[in-house]
Amino acid sequence: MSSSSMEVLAQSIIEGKVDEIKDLVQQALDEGLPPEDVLDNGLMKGMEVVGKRFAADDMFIPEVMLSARTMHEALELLRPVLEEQDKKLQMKGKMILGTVAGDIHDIGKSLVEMMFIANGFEVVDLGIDVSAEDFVEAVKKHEPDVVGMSALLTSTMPAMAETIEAIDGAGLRKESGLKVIVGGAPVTADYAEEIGADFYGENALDAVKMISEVLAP
Amino acid sequence: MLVIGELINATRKAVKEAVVNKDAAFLQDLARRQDEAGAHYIDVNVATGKGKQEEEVENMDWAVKLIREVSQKPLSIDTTSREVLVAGLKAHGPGAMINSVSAEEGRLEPFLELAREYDCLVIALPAADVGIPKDAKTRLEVGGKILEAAQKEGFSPESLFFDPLVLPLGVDDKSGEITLNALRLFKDELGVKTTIGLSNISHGLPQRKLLNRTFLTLAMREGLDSALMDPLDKAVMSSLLATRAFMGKDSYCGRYLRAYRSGRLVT
Repeated sequence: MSSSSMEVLAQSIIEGKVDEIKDLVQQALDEGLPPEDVLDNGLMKGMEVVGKRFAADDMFIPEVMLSARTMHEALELLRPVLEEQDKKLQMKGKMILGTVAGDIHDIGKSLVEMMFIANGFEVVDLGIDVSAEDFVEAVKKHEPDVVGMSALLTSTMPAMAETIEAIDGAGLRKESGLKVIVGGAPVTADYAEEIGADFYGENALDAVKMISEVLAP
Repeated sequence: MLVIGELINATRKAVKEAVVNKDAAFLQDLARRQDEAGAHYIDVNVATGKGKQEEEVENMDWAVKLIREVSQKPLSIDTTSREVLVAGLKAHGPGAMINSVSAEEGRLEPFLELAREYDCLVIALPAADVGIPKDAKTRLEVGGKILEAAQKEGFSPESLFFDPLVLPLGVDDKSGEITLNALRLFKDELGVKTTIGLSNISHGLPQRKLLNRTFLTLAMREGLDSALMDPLDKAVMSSLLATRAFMGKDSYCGRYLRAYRSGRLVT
């Protein structure tokens, strides 16, 4: 019974059954399945498939967005249940993400966001044209494991360097183990190194692979 | 409908490599093929992300000169940097297109002055320092601001092409409709010409060419005057000719039939 419930949950994430997912999660809990099992062996398994199929061009952005939304719905129900049992929601890590000051491109960043969500990260999207100060404030507030920055213009790439300076200036990277990853069409690995970023993501998949490895327990 | 050939853009990997390795023959071939396929302007973007600004300035000068050797078509100088733009316009001479001006600090008046000096057509983005306005109404306001500044500089609205900023359908399933409405709004409210970056609409979805050409037809019906697009895509160029004919803009179907006879129409 339980393994088939898990399959149904995974499949519902893959198919993006956003209106049904809460009932299905509730059913699984009513059957007595432990909430962490529902998350790890049901919902997250579905998300893993979504991530893989997206990488293989077998699923597309709107489908991944729908799966991510479905996951979000499910977590809304699961989070309080887990917390009631004094267990924390175990995501792979927490990321804040934004396109840097002066830059209004958000497509690449949205793709990165989806890939991270699809691979079990909690993502706080700060949006576009995010100032160095706003990045710093968000790091203080959300205490993420990773900060991701996107720039699509050669003229806004220096804003990445400024943001990294501001984060380091506030002493936020040194002790916390916070990692900074940068990307975007004009950004190169050399440039990332030059400005003191920890990682350079050539594309969304590359980024999520690298960060998953770094944060693996 | 002005077709601006989009292929010489250094965000594309092969072009980036050609720019970095100074492969003139590659860029000349790409320019020649777009010219022959019917592009009216050829866009040139050499922002490789490597090296310093001075290199981009040199690259623009280099690319414009070598493309002008093989094509008579005017070029669209695609950059956000004033220095790079100046290099492109100097190498080109009068009659280029500027891609693009916006209401952002330093990208309006200085760019418009250059446009007047070099007698250019101008693509205008309704983006301001606060980013891209979300709703059509604010985009229109920003657009109005650009138009006002342009008229102050002595520009006729005729030489301005407003881009309502196309977002991918895959990222927002309302973005097609939003763009179509914005095109109509710019035309009706400001009376200006419009342009779009056509292939943005299909980013992240399969069979992109189908989406591009279908959207082009819809956008033309909303009064689209120009598009940055792939002129080597025969299907989209065929759709363009068919749509023009349906809109009563092809006298005795002359262009359509000439294209048919020269084997340029595909289904």
